[in-house]
Amino acid sequence: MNIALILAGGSGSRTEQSIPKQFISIYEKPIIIYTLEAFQSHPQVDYMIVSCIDGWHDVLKGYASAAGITKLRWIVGGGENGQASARNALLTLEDTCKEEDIVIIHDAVRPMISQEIITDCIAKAKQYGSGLSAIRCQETIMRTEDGEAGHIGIDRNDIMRVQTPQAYQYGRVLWAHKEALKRGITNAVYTNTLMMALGEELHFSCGSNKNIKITTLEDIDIFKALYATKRDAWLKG
Amino acid sequence: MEIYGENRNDVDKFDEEYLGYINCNTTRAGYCESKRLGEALCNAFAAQKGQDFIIGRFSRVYGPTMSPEDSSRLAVDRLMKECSPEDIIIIHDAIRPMVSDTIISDSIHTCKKKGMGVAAVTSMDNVMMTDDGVTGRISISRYAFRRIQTPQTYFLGALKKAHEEALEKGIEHENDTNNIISRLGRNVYFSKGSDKNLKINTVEDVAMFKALYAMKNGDI
Repeated sequence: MNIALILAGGSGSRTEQSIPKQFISIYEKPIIIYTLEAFQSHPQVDYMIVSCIDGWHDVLKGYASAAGITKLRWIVGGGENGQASARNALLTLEDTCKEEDIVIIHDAVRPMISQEIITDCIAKAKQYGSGLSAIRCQETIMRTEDGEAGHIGIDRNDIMRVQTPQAYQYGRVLWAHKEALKRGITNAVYTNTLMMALGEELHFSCGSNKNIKITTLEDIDIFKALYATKRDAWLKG
Repeated sequence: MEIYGENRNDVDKFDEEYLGYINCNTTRAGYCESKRLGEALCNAFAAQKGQDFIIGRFSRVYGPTMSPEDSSRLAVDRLMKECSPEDIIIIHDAIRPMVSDTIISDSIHTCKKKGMGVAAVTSMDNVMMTDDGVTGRISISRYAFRRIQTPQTYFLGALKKAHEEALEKGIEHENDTNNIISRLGRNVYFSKGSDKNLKINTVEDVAMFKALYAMKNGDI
């Protein structure tokens, strides 16, 4: 079984809008629905669980139902941070998932996720235990200590920019979250950060520079632009 | 072009008869002198064998084998003839068409304040170290580095000095001016960049550019 675990617990403080960014509507559809549609269309995804910011559960249910997101099975409370949101959802799945099932953890605010990206992270997770969508850095990079000035000291070939989805075997990722709590790790931004803190080696999978994370108003512009041209390309056939 | 050598300050413009100064005690001298030798040999060969010939003197050759570092250095040399060292030069990739007014202004402003302004952005993704692009186990803070873009704005005089120093110190194969500056031991000062200021490398990038451009024009 493959289950998408969608992180929608954030409050969107950086876009300075009054509603959480995953619920901002673009062309009359909330960003989170674009994301859920991508998983709904994917033949290997069986169910979805959303870790959702308090107060928005009913809204989400309504939109998802109207959009035909039949695979959405659970909506659980978000936590005080990303790690807590993921943990809440993983614990909810304890009665349903077996060790070897695959959990695909993904930001609600990455609506441009493609079918290929989903396929590859599932394949890597099945084969290696993890599949983290990631891309190379295409530009020169420079080290900095203060953000004002930089110097050479890091090569772009030595790094990967890691996105979501991040797919893991359920048994392994559940263990990691429980173990992290035991060791006092409580503020890992993403599951991969948490797993690295536990010394785990992780595998990369297909990513894309179009798979943007909507963090700022500029990102909303970029998404609108990408989506509109994608839609136009489809219309022109 | 280097066949002419340096202006002896006796003319404003060269003609083809001009013979400028070449300091034979420099590593570059061999290159310039060999061009003079080549032309002299053509003349000698013609005199001895009756062989007809034409000599072409190319001023600037741009092509696939030209390194970005060389094209930058030669452009700076050319500008030194027309401009003064206090003039401001904004170096920019032709394949970054979405550069905004704000980014250009901030680059110039930072240059005036700190001596240079190099467009840079923070990575919004979480970042891992890797040896092979296949696996990783160590993370690095995204605040520990910046992704470097263009425009990169410098004073012309400082640019010229940096290229000269780099040649002297044997710093080679550095395509990016910011890396040359850093290898000379100096700080590189950042100015505003943007994820919209994308560099067009792949077909995917072209799609992104089309989308951003249509949006900028109000077509979508």
